[in-house]
Amino acid sequence: MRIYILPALLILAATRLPAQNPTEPAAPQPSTVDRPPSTVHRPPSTVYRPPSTVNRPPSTVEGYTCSNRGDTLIGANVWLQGTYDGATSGPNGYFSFQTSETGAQTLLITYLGCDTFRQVLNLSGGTLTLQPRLKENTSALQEVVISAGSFEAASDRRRAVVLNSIDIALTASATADIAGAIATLPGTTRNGESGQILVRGGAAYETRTFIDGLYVQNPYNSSVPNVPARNRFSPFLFKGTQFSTGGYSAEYGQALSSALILNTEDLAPQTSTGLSLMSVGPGLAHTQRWENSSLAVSGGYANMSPYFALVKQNIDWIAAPQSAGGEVIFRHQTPAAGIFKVYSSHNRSWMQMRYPDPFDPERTNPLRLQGDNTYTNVSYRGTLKETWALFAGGAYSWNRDQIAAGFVNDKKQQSGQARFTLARPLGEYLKVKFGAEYLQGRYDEFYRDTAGSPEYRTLRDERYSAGFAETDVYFSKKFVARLGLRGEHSALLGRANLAPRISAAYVLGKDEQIAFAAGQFYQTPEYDLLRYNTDLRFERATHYMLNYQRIREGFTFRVEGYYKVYDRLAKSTPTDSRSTGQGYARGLDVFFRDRKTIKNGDYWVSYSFLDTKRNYRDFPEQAVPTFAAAHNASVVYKHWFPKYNTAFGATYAFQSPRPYHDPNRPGFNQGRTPAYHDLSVNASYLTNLWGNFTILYVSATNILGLKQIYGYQYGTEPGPDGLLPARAITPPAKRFLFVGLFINFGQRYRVAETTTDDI
Amino acid sequence: MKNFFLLLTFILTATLLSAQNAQYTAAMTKAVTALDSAKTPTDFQAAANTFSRIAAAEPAEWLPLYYAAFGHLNTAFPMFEQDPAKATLTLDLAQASLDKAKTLAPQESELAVMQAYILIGRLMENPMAKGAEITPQVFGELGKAAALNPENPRAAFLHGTYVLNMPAFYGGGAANAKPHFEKAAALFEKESDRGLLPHWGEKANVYFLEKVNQPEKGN
Repeated sequence: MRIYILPALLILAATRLPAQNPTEPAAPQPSTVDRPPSTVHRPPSTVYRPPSTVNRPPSTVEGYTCSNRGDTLIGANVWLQGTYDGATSGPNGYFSFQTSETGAQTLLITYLGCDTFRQVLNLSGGTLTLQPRLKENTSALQEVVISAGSFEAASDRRRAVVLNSIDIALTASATADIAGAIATLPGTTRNGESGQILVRGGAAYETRTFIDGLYVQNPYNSSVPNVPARNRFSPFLFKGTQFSTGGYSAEYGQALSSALILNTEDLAPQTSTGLSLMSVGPGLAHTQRWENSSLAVSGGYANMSPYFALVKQNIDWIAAPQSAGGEVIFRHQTPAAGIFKVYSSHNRSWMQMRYPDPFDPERTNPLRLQGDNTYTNVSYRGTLKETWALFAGGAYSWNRDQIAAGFVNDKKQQSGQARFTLARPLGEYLKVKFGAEYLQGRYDEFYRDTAGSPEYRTLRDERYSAGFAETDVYFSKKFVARLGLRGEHSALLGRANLAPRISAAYVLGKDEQIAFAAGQFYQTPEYDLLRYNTDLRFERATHYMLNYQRIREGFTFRVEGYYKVYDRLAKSTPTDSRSTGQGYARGLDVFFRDRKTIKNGDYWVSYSFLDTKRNYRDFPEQAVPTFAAAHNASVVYKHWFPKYNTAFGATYAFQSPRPYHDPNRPGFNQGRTPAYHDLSVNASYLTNLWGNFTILYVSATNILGLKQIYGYQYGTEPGPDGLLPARAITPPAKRFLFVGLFINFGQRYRVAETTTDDI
Repeated sequence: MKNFFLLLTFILTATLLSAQNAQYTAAMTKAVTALDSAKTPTDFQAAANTFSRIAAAEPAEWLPLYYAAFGHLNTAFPMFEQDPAKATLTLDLAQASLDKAKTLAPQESELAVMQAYILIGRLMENPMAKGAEITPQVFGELGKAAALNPENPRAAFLHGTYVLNMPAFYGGGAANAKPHFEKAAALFEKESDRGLLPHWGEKANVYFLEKVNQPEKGN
């Protein structure tokens, strides 16, 4: 349609041109009144004429600029190509300028968010009135963004920032843990006993973590049941956190419920050295910055025993958790605006405790855990032939967990993967992206009950390959749809799948839009379910979601309803597994954030309603799983006191009762825990210590000391009352207190000092 | 005869060039005068447009590109409150003009100052999150500007304003900013008539110097 309008306008302008020329020399018109004299004085009139052609009669070009949508364009730059002659459109979009150029000239109009307007004018004096309409381009000022299911916790310039790394660090209750901060967003269910992210009725394994597009095999530190783990990665590694609660892009697979997509920082900004002195142990980091490269090396050691000596623990520790690890981060910027990244981390953690034996309250079993982990991620992001955005990367993970507690369990897991994606716009209304990935993994588990008893070994090799393609179609500046298809093959299962995904967003008005997403998501059953047979199918979830969001400067409001169907979930008996499990989850998530109303204050409120049931693993019937709660809510508040250089934060979290299985009563998962409440606080004081930028950070969880019960464990031998003995699963301690001093020996001061010396 | 034609061509070209030069100077003088009296975002937008037009017609001149960047930058600043996305895109325009200018005059101190200025604009997108990333870059560009031309008062002036607005724990505040404004004042004093070359900042420097000299209003 638009294509036709332009020529039509051109014709209009061209037809006006001759029509206006006679009216312009209106001044000579009176001379026709004096016609007789003029004919008499013919020579002078011819004398007048030639100079006007020699001096080129100035032409006036004027008009009103507007967009193809009819919006008035104020501040558009209008000029004749190759000349200085031009003007800026004022209020009403009116512009007018004079030019002494003649003949065919090209008029150019530029305006932010529109394509450059070109029109050839034929100038020969007089006034030329134009009605230029500039075509809005879809790429520059994208109004519409696919928002269903996705929380952009990023610094992405064109998108709304929901949470950034500082938000994560300053969220009380999170203690600078990514998973802890994510747990304050809607769609998540708190899971204090594991510390992991659970999304919309999905189990912990259904959420997968990706760093720079590459799958992370073990995102959490090794732990034992009911001792919460932390995410391995510091929030400050990442410039963007994209948390998807479902319906995500075909680019990602092997996650039934959720993808946590973390994008690492680019070049380190400056050379600096940081020292952290924490109540759990020290850490040291050095970053070196060169013109186009940066290298950061860090190491740390943590030991919980001094803290545990001070604060009473519910767990009887023989050796409090300790860990030692190091990280290397290298970045190199290539001349063609590409960036090459290497991230590598190595960590060992160990702990030893007396694990309570519910059969016999007098007895505890000694348990020792040692976890070793290595993760290396190498990637390149750049352009190919200036039109293709290229990503290529590879990662290697190795993890070993050794548990000795009477029984011996030695679990080794490794994976190597490679991946690429290519993306480009095809014209203005279409974007395409495709890619492929390959993963080779090995799971090697050894188990022996007691010395001398039979040994079991499970060795599983996986060769997984996948390809995807997706396209973004901009029907208009207000309406975009994304269609994607992902194909996967698992050599271990000997099966393949094809997962279609679709999402769309439509702008309702300024600041508000609705979005929709649907799709199929497949995941290979966890390795421990493949112990007895590998003839299982991919587990499958089908998502549908509808989202409304309104984002104004300083305010974010979103509400999303969803429905999720599970099928082919692995069902297991002690000796067999089959893909006959199924379930559903439906609910409503609400999020509101306000950074404006309270000066120096920032708060968000999130609420999730969840209704879910499933029949999977060893469930005898369809039931609400123990990790699901009908209501989850969080209120997060942060306040900055500029006078005291202090940031203060508080988080209140609520969770409605969760089910647990009570074998003393008929039924399955029929027990309900008490509701969960938590109030956590933190404070950060920013100061200088010997001229070095320093942060003093303190945090405390559950300051009210409320009793938090995650569930109950039962013994197998009835007690004197004929009932099986129960033990409440609670946090390892009532509260967790943390103090840290972070000193940054930055170059910034050296820069400031040298310039002061200059003066 | 051949030589005659060569000579004629040469003369004609030279005349044309000088005519063009005169036209350029006239257009620039008018535009710089307009910029000097610009106050509202509309004025700066118009100035940015005028300089962009001149820059398009004079692909070898860095100065119109520099001023176009300056115009876009001043258009963008007040926009952050109402329309941060558009402000960001306007800064992109400023950066695009500056990038072109840098290829024409890579050793120009004023362009490094402008780069620092645009980076300060970038900071507005999210001061809390971007401070740590951008601050060293701003100081880096200002250091470069001072190295290329130690007499450039705008480098010292911008340095002063940045330090003044930085939190005290970060090494900012009035007391730390004062030496930069004083240095700028001395350099502005020395600066002779710059004509079309960049000459902004002197009045603002006087204002800030007064401000940092009043301890009660200091921060």
